[in-house]
Amino acid sequence: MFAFFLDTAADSLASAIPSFTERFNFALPLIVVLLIVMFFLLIKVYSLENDASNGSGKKSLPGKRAKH
Amino acid sequence: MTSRVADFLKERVDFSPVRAWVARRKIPQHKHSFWYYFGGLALFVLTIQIITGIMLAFYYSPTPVNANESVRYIMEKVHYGWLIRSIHFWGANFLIAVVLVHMFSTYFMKAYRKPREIMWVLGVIILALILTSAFTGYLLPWTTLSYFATKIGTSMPLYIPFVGHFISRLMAGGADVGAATLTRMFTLHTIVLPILWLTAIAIHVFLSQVLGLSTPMSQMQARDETKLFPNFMMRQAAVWSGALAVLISFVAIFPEGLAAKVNPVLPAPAGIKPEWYFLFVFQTLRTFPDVIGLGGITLGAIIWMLVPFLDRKASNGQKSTFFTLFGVAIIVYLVTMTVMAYITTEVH
Repeated sequence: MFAFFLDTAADSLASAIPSFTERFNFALPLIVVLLIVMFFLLIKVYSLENDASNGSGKKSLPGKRAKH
Repeated sequence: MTSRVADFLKERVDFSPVRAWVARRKIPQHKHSFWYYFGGLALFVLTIQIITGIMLAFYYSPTPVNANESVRYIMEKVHYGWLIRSIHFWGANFLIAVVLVHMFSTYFMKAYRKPREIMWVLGVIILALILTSAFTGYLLPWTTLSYFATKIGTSMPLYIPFVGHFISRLMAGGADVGAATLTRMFTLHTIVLPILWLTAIAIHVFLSQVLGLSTPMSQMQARDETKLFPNFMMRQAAVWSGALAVLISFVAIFPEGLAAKVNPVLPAPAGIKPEWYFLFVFQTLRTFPDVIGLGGITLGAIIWMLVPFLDRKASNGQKSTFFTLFGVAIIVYLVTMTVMAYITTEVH
């Protein structure tokens, strides 16, 4: 894998790949959106479980034991 | 509009049994539940590989004259071609890493124990098929490194008694790596192997749904469960989202380049070595005589696949320290050989 990095640097299509800044400009918004989606989902599922536990009177928050 | 489509479908197909089944599905919750997400993560990365692979196949030409040029065309002319190829390259590395984590976590949780023996055997077969996919895909850019790596790979079966010569020629499509090898590797990589691993994965996933996820023996007292849908699937989607962010980061920081086209007449360059997931094989063959090295790896793989049938204690619900230590020994061996191969060989 790491040999590939060296290959890339030494002997590859430098012109075909956009510059680091261009790649960064392209990737950063995408990464931010993905991380927002990730945290949104985690907060949503936490809130779902919290609501469920409050509704049923049981405690089933992540990391806590519920009785079944 | 959406409700009209839903009504149209509802009048024709009764989905209520499926919905009821999904609503009933529960996933065990305990302190090792984190490892359950790696199976789904492997499926997600595999889906990325399928999509990017299809996109690359639209432009790729599997002939010695055109192979390297077509990859060059993808990278230079096709919109975001460099991106798709880099995602496919890094996706392959991620996939193997995720499958390895999934396999070892399954092993140490003894999830292979009765009644999930077939799931384990299929899992090992899937890993072998994915590694073979990586090997067959490696030749496709038709670079010096990929050419000589395939030459070494296709000559390995020669150590197998009686049928080795036949298998080697079958793989290479002749006495040496050439046009026939390229078309064979392309066909295997894009048609044969995907059919095989998709079938194996379908059965593996089907069994995981029928039998449910295994709870580690140390957590058998924990009675916590979470709903598959939406709770578990939402967490799984969060893991996918985070993993895709990591994959995109790798692609942006380390985009995959394209080395020059191979000249088969020239000798193999000094210090070539395989990708990280085959370094242990490489180092084993450097350390031991070839027949012993290959024989040992083959025997080890067979024993690994048959572990559920050998570890009777785990199947009877007892602790099986020997097999835990066996797993640790395998990891130590793989890591040691990989590190040795990396530090003792000249970097190409």
